[in-house]
Amino acid sequence: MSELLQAKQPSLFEFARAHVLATIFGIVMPLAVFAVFVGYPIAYTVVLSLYEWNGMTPTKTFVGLANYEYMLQDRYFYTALFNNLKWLAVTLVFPVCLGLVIAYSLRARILPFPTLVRTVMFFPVTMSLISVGLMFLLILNPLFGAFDTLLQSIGLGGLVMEWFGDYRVALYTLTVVSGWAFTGMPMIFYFAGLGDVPKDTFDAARIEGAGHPRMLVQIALPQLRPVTAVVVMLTIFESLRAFDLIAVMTKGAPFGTTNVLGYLVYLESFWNGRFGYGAALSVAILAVSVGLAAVVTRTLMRGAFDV
Amino acid sequence: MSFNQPLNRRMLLAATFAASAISAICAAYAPASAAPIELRYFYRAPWPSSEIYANYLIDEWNKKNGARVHVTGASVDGETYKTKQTIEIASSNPPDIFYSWEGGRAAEVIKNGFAADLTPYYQKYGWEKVLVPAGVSLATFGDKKYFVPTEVGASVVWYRKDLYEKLGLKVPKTWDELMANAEAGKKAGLWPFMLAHQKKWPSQFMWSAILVNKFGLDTYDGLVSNKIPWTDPRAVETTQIMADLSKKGYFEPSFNSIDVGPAMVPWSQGKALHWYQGSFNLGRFRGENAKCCVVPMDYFPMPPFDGHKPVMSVFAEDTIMIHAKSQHKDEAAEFVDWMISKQAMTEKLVIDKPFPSSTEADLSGLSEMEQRLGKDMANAGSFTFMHVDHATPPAISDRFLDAVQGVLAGAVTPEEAMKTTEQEAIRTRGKI
Repeated sequence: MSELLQAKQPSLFEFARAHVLATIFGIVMPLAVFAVFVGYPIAYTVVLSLYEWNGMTPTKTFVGLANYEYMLQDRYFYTALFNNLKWLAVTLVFPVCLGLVIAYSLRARILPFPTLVRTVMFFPVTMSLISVGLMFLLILNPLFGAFDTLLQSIGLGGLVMEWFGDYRVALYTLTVVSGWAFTGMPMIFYFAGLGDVPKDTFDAARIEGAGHPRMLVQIALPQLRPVTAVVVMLTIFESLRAFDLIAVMTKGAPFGTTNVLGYLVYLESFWNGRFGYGAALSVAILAVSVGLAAVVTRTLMRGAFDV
Repeated sequence: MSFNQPLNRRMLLAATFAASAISAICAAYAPASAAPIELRYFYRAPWPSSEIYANYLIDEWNKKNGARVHVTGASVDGETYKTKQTIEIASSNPPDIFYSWEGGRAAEVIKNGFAADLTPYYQKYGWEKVLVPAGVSLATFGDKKYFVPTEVGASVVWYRKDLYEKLGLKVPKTWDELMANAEAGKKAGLWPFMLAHQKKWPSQFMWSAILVNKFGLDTYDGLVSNKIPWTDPRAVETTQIMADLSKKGYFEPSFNSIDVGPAMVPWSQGKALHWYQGSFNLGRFRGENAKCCVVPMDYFPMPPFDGHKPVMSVFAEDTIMIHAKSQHKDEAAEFVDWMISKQAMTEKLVIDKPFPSSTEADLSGLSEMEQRLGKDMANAGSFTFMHVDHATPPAISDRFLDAVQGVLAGAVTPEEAMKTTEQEAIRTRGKI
């Protein structure tokens, strides 16, 4: 075994000569596809961010870093950025934690009809966010929405508020709706992950007198670290990609308080005809994504997949 | 040469050459009408009826002229159109005919060289004589005409006639009288004004009407044509008036959460007394009825503050341009001429909604109130004023709408709102 480990690793060139087909189909072609469909658009976006272009004429004016300078002074950019971070925070707390709890409850057979619950919880994940948005526009409508009626009928009328119209509440309404649609995803990941946790560990903990909350936090969660790493990474990207619900439900209103970076890119590029500034905002999204991914990679993911 | 002779290479080549030559000669002498000219019509369909009406226009045209000039339509819903229009008209294969907006947006399209000069077609077809004068004046940029209005509209105060009668109110002639009526409505448990402001554009109708009727048309023109900054005290005061109406509870509760479509429910239920909105809502007011309206209602123009004659907003709701790069401008103009023909415009009233831009259209199928409004619009003479999101580029109007919504929600002061709008305006058009 140690001899195997100590054997000299072939260089990339040697590997390529020895495995021509694997090199072509496994390395060169995927890299080429990535370069064309991901690398080129990113590079083009970076280049475009240095220009001013209205999208109508072929002429682009080189403005250097002016778009970035403006972005750093743009109040709407900061509002959108912080909204993205709030969205991420709520999504990490609400659907991810809820998904974990539901998955544990299903595995521990606390919930009745586990298959039905699993299906019902996962169903929204398969729905288009446009449909979800339209549905919740009706449910939360202040004139005839079912949710307000439900609250009033159970004596909680005091909790009724302007779900989309109040600038202090609207963003959280959107994040909760997004969470409703997203909860099934972490649930299914955690449900699968819990299947790999040795049953003996739970049995041992139960014999020692541990209850479900303690088993969830102290037994299941540490062993689900690789799953959590993947779920957190997915949640980050999901939060930064937030667009559909805003486009359907609020369009950034009221007073631009529900704008997120993705929607701001759309507004600036296609609505206001500032494709250069839109590209600069896209580069900002890329930078934030890379930054957050780096944090997750260095913390949650470090050692999580070691065998 | 015997037919039993085997086919050799030379014969095969000769036969191929002969066949090619015959085909080429046939093609050269084929009648010119073999393949019709293809026109692409790219339009905005904000209402289900818009789509039905556009299909009627295209189908009827193709039935009569399809063998010569064939039209194909492609539509986009109302709110997405603005973003798709840029991509379509700037593409290498742009549509021949496309929906445009009036005002600032139209100016942008013209400035970027996408709109064909339609002045010769106005002369050829005599459009100026049949179109509502306000529409023609809107289509004129400098000394040229760039679009053809196909629907004109007006913004007015709609009011519930039955509730007015019940409360013993009279149609107001001044702003103070309107406020007195609103107060009476509020005391009776009604919402004085419906706003339905979820999508943030509705308040601009009332805002611009208040500004024009308090400070004059010149002030509004100055604002939207970059001569007066948005931080001007008159713009701030107008925003303050809107904020005061909101503070007094003159709009429906949760107005920032209610869209125009769902707002028809409380309007029909008689919960609101007035609604300042555009005439393009007449399709909604008509509902399933053959004639307007589902509920007893009428209109009056926004009353002035100082006893002068009220200025009613008359604008072009739908406008059509011909692409400057179209290879078939003459045929496209022919199709546009069909769009504003008496037959097409009269059918618009049946399928779609008022008001046709042609004075030749037969309005007799409309309700008395609609006919009266149609006449008022035609008699308004030249164009008066259009709302902010038609008059200014999208970047300015979007920020303005955001800001006014912020004021009505109590998030910012009128001064801050107009400062935000001015900052965006400076970014778009520079300092005044």
